Amino acid sequence: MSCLSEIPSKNYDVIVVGGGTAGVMSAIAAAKENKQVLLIEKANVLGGLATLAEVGTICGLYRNSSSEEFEFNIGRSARRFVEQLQSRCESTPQKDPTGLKYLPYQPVVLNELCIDLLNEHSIDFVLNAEITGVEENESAILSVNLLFEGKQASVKAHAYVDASGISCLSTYLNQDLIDTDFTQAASQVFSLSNVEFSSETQLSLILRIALGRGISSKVLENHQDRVYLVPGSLKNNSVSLKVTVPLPVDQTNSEQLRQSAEGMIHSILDYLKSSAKGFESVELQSIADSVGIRVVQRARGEYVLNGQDVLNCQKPENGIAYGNWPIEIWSQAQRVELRHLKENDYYSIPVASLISQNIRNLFFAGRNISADDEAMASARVIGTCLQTGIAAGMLAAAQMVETSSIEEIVDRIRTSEFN
Amino acid sequence: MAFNVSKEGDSMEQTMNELKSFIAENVLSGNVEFDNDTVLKELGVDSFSIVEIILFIERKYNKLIPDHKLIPETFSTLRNLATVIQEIEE
Repeated sequence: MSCLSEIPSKNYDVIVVGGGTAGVMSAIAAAKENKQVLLIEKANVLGGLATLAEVGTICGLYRNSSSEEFEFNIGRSARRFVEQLQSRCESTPQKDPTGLKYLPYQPVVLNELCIDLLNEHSIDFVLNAEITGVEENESAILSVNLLFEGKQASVKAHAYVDASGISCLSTYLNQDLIDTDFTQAASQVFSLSNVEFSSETQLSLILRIALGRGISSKVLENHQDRVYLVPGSLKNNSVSLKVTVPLPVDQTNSEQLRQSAEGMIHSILDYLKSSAKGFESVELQSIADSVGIRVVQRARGEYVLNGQDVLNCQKPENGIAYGNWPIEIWSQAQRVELRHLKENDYYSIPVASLISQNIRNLFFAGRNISADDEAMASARVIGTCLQTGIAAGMLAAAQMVETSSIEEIVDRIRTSEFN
Repeated sequence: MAFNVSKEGDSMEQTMNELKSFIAENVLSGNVEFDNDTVLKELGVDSFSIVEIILFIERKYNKLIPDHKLIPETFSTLRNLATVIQEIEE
């Protein structure tokens, strides 16, 4: 059993902060290099938002083309993870009316898969553990402090991966953050039972019309029609929906966001039950544990990936992860804004976006890579997070091998993942 | 040219013109050519726009489109939409 009940006094090779999909992949990648790895997660489950916020779809996996084929265009290890998830969930990839391709999954199954994979690779991990500080000396992290089981502990490693989603380590180290031009709206997933629809398209249509009528007749407030179907979630008369929370997002107000979301969900549901055909007898089945905060702060790395890199499908020589998803911006507007990549094309994320500018043993993964708001609006999806996770894990594992240069590591990542 | 269109035909024609200008001004970008039988979906009218069109109709004619008419066939062309509006008006 590699889920720890206390923090051992040993030193690790690699510490990964954050047990989301990026963090789990980082830990596995480092363990495959025969490194001793500790993964620290603050929630009581693995998978991060994919589990807690019940995202429900894995995006960014398939080549962006108008064909009906679902052609994987991600690194080999990420693909293996997705194929295992797909087989356990018995799910099939979907294509939406705008041509976007994604894979539905069940959050509970994703959590189980993460646990099984960590165990399979004998990776130590702690749940419900919170980082409370970082010790640094001469531009390197010496140790991280954490609160676990009511006790403070300190733990050391040679290299660190920040996959916390909130740039936890960089923030403690007062690193330069990337300026933010806009924040992505948060959304809260909830699920309903007793839903009498057999088609997602029809459900979506009736839902949108009902909400629009509610606003026209002033029964609902103006922002209360920002409710969307989680694609692929309608089965056995139950469905998941997500609602955009009408509040600005920062990393400190998740409780406030959630309360606002809960209030909205209840009023929207009361309205739907009384006014929308097919929703008369629906019941609120559950509200996801976490509000989905799409993007928060990131630290500046050696390179800041930008929106033009994404839209122009840049493929630098030191690219270590492929992005297939459009720039997807969720504001308070009713409709999501999509800026598409070129047909049949993709971009590649340079290794420099995973490397801290000042801290020599710190690497970024998932939603913590060094990218501006626009680039992150594409790179934040799970398909990309898995790959940056793997690359960051391999970088961290190679950190203590003084003979290898970044070029050599990039070469190894590219060979093992993409060739 | 024979002008023997019935009164009903006139109002059907008028409804289609009203819908056409709403869609041209609010839904489509640029000068897209379409007529009463163009399949709207092929112009890129997506589900969000369909909802906008329905809510416009309901405001303008002050009538709710009945539930059993909220199906893809109703929204496929201007003519089908106008036919449904005429049916509610009767």
